[in-house]
Amino acid sequence: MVLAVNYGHKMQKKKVILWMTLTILGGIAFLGSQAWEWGHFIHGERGAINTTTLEVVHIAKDNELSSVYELVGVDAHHGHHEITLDDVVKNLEEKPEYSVRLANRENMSNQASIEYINKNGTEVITGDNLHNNEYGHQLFADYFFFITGFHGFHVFSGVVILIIILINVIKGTYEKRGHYEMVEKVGLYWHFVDLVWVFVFTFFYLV
Amino acid sequence: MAQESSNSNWWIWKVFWILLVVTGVEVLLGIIKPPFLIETIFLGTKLLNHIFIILTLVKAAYIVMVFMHLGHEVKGLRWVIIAPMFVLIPYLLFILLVEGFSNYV
Repeated sequence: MVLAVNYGHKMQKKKVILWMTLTILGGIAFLGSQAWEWGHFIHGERGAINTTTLEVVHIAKDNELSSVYELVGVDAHHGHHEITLDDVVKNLEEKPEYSVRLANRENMSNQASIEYINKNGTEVITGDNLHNNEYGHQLFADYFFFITGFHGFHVFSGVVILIIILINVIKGTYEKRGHYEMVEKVGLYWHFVDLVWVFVFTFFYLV
Repeated sequence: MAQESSNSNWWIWKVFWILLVVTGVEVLLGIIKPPFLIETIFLGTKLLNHIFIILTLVKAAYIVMVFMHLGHEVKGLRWVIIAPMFVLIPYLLFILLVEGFSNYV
């Protein structure tokens, strides 16, 4: 995008078109990755059990992290499964190698797990959304979808605006006008969204 | 815009590589998670988080200064925009990180 703005200053139409096109493709690639990531999170990976302690607990097999799907014996990647707490308890009773793994990564014994679920379990949750989060704290899921959703929507708007400006560039509107200031303006918007991403990336993916 | 006379793009590519390398360092640190940086708590959060915040502010400064052309403005205007940000962003981060991790003893 900066290169497109720079070539706009020099009135080099072909290079503006090239770099704006590459920026649009980059933006679309970003949105595609984000759609894949959201899909992955919403579908979930291992399932978990919500508890009255507001902590989400996972299932372990022989003290290694396992999944609710594996415990109940269904394929996580095919079809939709309604798994109930009763299924979990029944399978824990039948399969002593499985147990509950607490949020602090401590594994309980099989017997303690059954008692724990009967006492504290509220529901089986799969995936990550605004109501449940199998990965950890609910607040993180809420903020994650809220902030990355807003940012992704701005990227989408940016791609749309870039396409409109690119059409004008190709038509020669700015060539006639004598300056490429509109390219500079959309560049400013694009880099504002970019600047936001720098912070989103740090605080949602790194910290 | 003042810099139209320069005919090359080397300064854009320079900033591109700087941002790429800084991001690469951040991701590497995030994957490796050096124990020393995680166990050391400074000002209420991990030392590693301080490194992330400083590197992020460096990236933000490059984007605003070069990609958003603030670097071409006069010194006074530059500081009017940058100075409050460099006070308010760390202040907000301090509140969010300290409060956000308060339930993890």
